[in-house]
This record gives sequence, structure tokens and C-alpha cells, in this order.
Amino acid sequence: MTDPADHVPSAAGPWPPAGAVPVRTDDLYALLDARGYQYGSAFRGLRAAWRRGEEVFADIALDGATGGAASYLLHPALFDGALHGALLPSEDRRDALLLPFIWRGVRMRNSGARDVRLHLAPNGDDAVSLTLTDTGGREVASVRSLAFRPVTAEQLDREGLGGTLLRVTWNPVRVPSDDDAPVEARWAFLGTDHLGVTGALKAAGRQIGSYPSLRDLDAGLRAGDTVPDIVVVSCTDESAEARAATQRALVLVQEWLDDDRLGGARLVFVTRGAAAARTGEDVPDLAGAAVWGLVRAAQSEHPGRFHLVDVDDVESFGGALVSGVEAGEPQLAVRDGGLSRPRLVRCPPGTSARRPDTGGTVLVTGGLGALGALVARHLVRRHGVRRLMLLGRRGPATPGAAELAAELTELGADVRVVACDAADRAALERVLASVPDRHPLTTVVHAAGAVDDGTVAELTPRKVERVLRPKINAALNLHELTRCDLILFSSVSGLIGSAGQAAYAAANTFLDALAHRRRAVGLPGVSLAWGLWADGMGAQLGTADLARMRRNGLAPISAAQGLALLDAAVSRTEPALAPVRLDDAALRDGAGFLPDLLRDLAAPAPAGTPAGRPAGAEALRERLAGLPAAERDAAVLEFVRAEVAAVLGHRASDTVDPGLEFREIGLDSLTNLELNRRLATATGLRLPATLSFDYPSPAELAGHLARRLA
Amino acid sequence: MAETMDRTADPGLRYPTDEDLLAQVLRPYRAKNCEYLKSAVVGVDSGPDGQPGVGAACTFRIPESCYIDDTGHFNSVEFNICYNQMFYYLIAKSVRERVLEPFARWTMDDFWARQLGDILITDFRSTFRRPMGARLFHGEIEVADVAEWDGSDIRDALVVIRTKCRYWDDRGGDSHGEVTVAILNPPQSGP
Repeated sequence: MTDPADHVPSAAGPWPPAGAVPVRTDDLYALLDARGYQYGSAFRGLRAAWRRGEEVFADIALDGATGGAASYLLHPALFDGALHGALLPSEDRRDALLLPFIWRGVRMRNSGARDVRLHLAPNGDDAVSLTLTDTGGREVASVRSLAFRPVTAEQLDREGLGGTLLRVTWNPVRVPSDDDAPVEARWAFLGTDHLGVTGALKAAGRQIGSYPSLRDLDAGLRAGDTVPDIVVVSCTDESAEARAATQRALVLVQEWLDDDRLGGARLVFVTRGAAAARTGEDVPDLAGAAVWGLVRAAQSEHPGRFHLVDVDDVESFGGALVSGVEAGEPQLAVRDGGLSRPRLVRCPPGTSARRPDTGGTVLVTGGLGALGALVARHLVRRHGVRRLMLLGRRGPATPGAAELAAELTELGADVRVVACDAADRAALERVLASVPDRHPLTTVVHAAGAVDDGTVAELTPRKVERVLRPKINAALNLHELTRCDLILFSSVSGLIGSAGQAAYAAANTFLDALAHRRRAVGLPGVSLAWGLWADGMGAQLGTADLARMRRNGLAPISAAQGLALLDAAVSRTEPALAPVRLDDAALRDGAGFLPDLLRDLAAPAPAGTPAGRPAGAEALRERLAGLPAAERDAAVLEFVRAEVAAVLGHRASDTVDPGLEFREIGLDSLTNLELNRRLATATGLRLPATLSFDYPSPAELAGHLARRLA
Repeated sequence: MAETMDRTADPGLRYPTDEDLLAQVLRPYRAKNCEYLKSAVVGVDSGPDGQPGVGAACTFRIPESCYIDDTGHFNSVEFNICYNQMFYYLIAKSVRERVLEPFARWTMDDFWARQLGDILITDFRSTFRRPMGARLFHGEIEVADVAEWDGSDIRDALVVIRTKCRYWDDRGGDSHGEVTVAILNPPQSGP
């Protein structure tokens, strides 16, 4: 690091030098903080500064409490403080973050200084020379050339903190031609045909039965109709609100799971305009978008039973729909007769840096919740937001609200805590009308939300409503009542279809679609489909939930990662993004079980091959076949215990008592479902949903499986 | 069930047996010896999620079975008949006292028009822990969840009520169950 051959002239002489003009430094660290340089008190060493042309002079001192200067050649806080001279506001390249990049000619002369004087002078493009002297004019250290590089918040966040920004892309799908199809499936249509699906299917050469309602389907089956292989319902109805559309989809899903006669039938939900399958595409069918979220969760819970297809208004969609569904693709879009499927991919590096306009008011719904409070602090500390309105249903009565307001006020913000349910349009209108004209609304962060988890079979309209209302009613109100930047906090659960969160998934895909809508009508906004925040809802999760998330290839996002991702996301131009933290090992290990949208992040599948099932079943059978008969039962039991442990997030299967009932071991309806799914995949057996009720302990279940596998 | 029905901590609202209503509810039963339900105190407490917890504490008497010679114990058919009577009464009382949505929006005529044809058990589970004499015993019913499903092109409107119930006597007899009931053709909800 030191190079005695280099020489930098000393800054000895009068102090401050003649012609140097004082620079204001009392708010330097607050300004730096807002730009992303967060220095603790020991590192806030720059006390005074002067400028003479492009040169900078400054006094740097160690904080009184920071001892130990004698044990360093140059105390790190003192050295770091010297670099702050390069960050004085007018030296700044607009509001970019600058980081030291290349050091040349660093020399240490005298150790043990507590107070130093800095002389900084330009030395070529984006580089400076530095000389530090003590108060007697003796040189302490010098740097011949230090080059800075601007770094975007996004680069910091992506590279430094481990979060990842994803976005949905729709990849072309090629399916086998009709001639290769083994047996032509029997198709039927159920319900009202708003989209002309029956005509399109007939044009594609499928004979199609039609049942106006579930009652008619039931009557048909009782009268001896052959059970169809594939049943199609149309889910885009311009008059239907999201609430009605999701409830109708839920009825269908539950009916499909309840009716044993339909156990081999697949149900296809067809929408139009519910997905942005092309860049810049509008998503006019917000209700249909909510159906996508709900059905994705149903797909995760019950693979192979449900399909989603978004079609365009080109009449020829029938052929593509038929071939895509018959090939087993769970999620598809048809555009101009071509098929594509959604996948999450990493965003390319961003370009422009966008910062909130600090002169206006920022409103945060759910602003008194864990996530809202984190965001509020971040807006004030990092972005210098000075006027905040924090909305919560209980307002100032929310536990912690007063402390949060005091903290933000201390940081220099003017904070209003307001009791308002943003889903109540009139109440929201009153709050918006109270925003002062001098400081108009510049940004709204919609972070309010609620979860009410349960398997799709257990969901009721009330549970769905409890989740939809705070998310989508409020989002719609905010969309309709504001023209400023609208940042919608959505969840990746809508994209990956988190098992046990069908209602939540529906609410979030609605938000994502609304962001597309808002952009299509020329208003600013973005939907952020967050992975789970460790400090948000993640704080309430149990081991099994976390294990399930990990199997989905995701890890909890820390507050720092989340806030960095937030900055990175809002500086981009996409209408919808998914800020997440990927678990690379889980992505690699769990490739066969990953949600469809994450599959290409693990190991890119060959382009255009339909999603397949993992081939573990053969391996299990072979392994069992290779064992002496006497050891097979024990091996199956060990296999079952390992699967139970995996579902519960336990490291070892010996925590699973084979004689206890699953309920006593800790399985609930969701983990039961997951166990069932894993066992079905691993054994290749078709297993009834009631499996763990019929064989309620690992030992009994293993006995049953051993008999069926024999 | 016993724990959840313990009202000692939060007495809530209590509606004593409404004799006229009880008689009306039991009117469809063909013979006097099928009228097992003798008293029913409907209770309303604050339930989870802000929804009222609604249930009924009942007494029954079966001097002689209405369909079989004396078996000496309370059997599953009687379990079911007793359940129906508790359920009918609980819903009728909920309509009358306007204590539970959506029944608070119903009229009594809405109820009487649907009592037989439109109220169907869709799932019935009963467990008999210890045999119970059928002469005089207690019963409880508790509403676990009410789901109001809107009508659409694919299915008509439907109300689905999940309940828990329990019967016991003073000599240690005990049985319990979980029953789901669907109400078809519910009256149109408000605006």
C-alpha cells in the first residue's frame, strides 16, 4: 500500500490557505445520508471545509469517544473522513453515488494523528489527489491519485446485498403437432361463453360438449355422459368485478376437487386481457388477473388439475389453446395464434436513477405496519422526504404509531398519522383533499394488506374478501383518485401461486395488472411483487412455512435488502417487477418442484419444451426392488418419515415419530396437501386427497404405500 | 367443543328458550314422539375476526325412539334428528333476533319457506366416545363458519354453514360431531 518512491507536495502554509472560501458542512452528513452514504457518529469526522476553485481543504477530527489513534498508522475513521471532502455537495456529479475505485501512490508518513488537514485537488477525469497533514503542517499521508466511479443504487443492491429484481417474460412454447398427440382428448365447455371459446374449439376440430352450469354437468354425468378430459370455462366478463370473478373461480376449483367423478378431468380457465403477454400490453381484465392468482395457487396445491390460458381477440386462438392444454402446459397466453408461457427472469441492469421529489407529500398506506414503517424511515433517511402521511385503519391508536411519528419527526420530517381505511373511497378522498397545495402528493406507496391463509379447498367468500378488500379496493381507489407515482406493494405469491395463499395470490395479481393498466393509461406507477420480508409477514412464519418458501427457491428478504431493492425497482421503467431474494442452492436442488415461473432461473430448460414431471418415481421403485423383501417396509417408512420431515422443515427424519398421528406431528391441512403431493410425485402413484386421513400415521401410511409399490 | 362453549369468561348475550318458536320449528315432525328438543338457550359471544360466535345450549328427551324399539343407547339416527332440531331452532332464532349474518337479513317467512326443502346436510361426521342413555341429555351446537356464496352462471347462490355439536348426559355419556349444512335458494341479499 505504501510507496516511498511517490511524492506528493505538502500542504504546509497558512490554514485555511489564502483564497479558500468556506463551505457549509453542518448538514453534510444529513445530505450524504439521504444520498445513500450512511456514516455512524465515529465516522462523521469532517468538521470544516473550504473550496478554492476545484481544490478542497478540510479539517478532519476523530470523534472524542473514538480512541486508539496511536495504535493505527492512520485511524480508519480519520482516513474515511478525508474522503468525504470529495463528496461535498457541489463537487457531486448530480446525485450519483461515488465509490473509491482505483488508488495509486498511497504513502503514510507520520502515525498517531487525531486531527488532520485535507488538501484535495483534481488529478485527471474523476480522480483526485489527497494530502493529509497534521495541525503542525507535517505530512501524515498522501494519495497521488484516487479515482471514483459512480455507482447506481441498483448496482449496490444487486451486487452488494443479495436481493434480485425479477420480471415476468413470456417465452414462446412449441408443442408437438396434432399428429403426435396420443389420443384426442374429450373437451367440454362449462358456463356462459363470453369469449367465443366453443366456436374457437370447434374451428380447431374439437367436438365439444356444453354445460351451462355445474348443475347441468352433474345431470349430464348422471345421465351417462362420458366424463370429459378437459373442461373449459370462460372467466372474462366485462361486467364482473374481481370479487365476483374470484368467487366464481373458487367455486369451480372447489367443485373440481370435491367431485370424485371429475378426478381425471382438467379444468381450463380462459381469460382475455388478463395478462400482459407482450411488452407494454394493457391488462383491461383486472378481475381475470385476480383469477390467475387464485388458480395459480390452486395449481400449486393440486398440480395437473387446472390450466390458465389468456387469449387475444384473434379468432384463431382455438388451435393454439387446444395444443397447449393437451400438451399439459399449465399457464399460457395465445397471441396471434402463437403460444407463450410466463417465466420470471433477472432484470437487465437499469439505467436512469429516479428519486422521489422531496418537495411534495408522500403517502403510505399500511404505513404503520412493519413494512410501511420500514419504508417510511427509508424515505426520510435515505431520500430526504420531508412530508409523510402514514395511513392505517387505526391511525394514531396503532401500537407504535406515536413512537414512529416521533422518530421520523426527529429525522426532520413533517409526519401525519391518519386513521383511514384506504379501501373506503369516501374516507380516502377526504384524506387526499387534506394534502396541502404547497406540497402536493408526489408518491403513494400502497403497502397495506392482510393475509388469511388456508388451502383453496378451505377458502370461503369471507376469507377471500378479508384479503381482497385492503389490497384491491384500496389500490383501485388510489389509482382512480391520484395521478402521482403509485407504488403498489404486491407479492410474488401471486406469480408463483403460493400454496395456501390463493386469496392473497389473487389480490396480488390484481395489483400487478392494475400497474399495467395505470401505465397503459399514461399514469406513473409500478407494482412490486415482493418475496417475503423477514420483518414483515415473515416474522410470523413457522418452520414449515419457511421450509416451503425455500423449496420454492426463495429466501426471506432482510430490511436492508428490501429497501435496496425498493430503490432499485422504482428507478426502472417496467410496470411490474418482482424484488426477491433467491436461494440458489434451493433453486438447484429443487428444480423438479419449483413453481413454474421460477423454473428457468434454476437450469434453463430447452426452449419450448412443455413442463414435465420429475422422474423420481422410477428411481424409488428401483431402489425398493433392489432391497431384500424384509427391508423394503423399513425403507418405505424411512422414505415417508423423510418426506414428512421435509414438509415440516425438520432437518432430520428421526424427529418424526412413526406411530404418532400426522396431526400430532404437526401437519395441518396445507402441509398434509404438500405431503400428499410429494409422495405422489416420488412414487408415481395417484393418491387421494384423503390419504393422510385414511392412513393417519407415518407407519400406517408407509404400510399402505409399500403394498401399492410392491 | 366443551371449551369453546364455556361461556363463563364472557357471558355475552343469552336468549332463553322461545317456546312458541320451538313449537313452530318442530311442527313438521310427524309425531309427538319425534320432538326431542325440549329447551334451547341461544348464546351470542364475540367470536374470532369480529364475527359473532353463535351457538345453542339444549336439552333433549327421548322417552321412546320414534323409529325403533328401545336400543338402550343414543344412536346415530337420533344424533342426526337431534342435530336437525337444534339447527332449525338456532337458525330460526338467529332470524328472529337478527344475530347472525346472513340470517339477520332474513324474514321469518324466508325461513319457514326454506326450512324443509332448501336446508340440506352436505357433510356429517359423528363420533360416539362413551354410550349415552337417551332419556334425558344435553346438547350443544356451535356455528364455526357461515359462507355466503353468490350466484353466478355456473351455480346458484348458496349459504354453507359449518357447525360443531356435542351431546352428553350426567352419567359420562359423550358423543360429538361436525356437520356442514347448505341452504339453497337464500333470499336475495340487500342492495
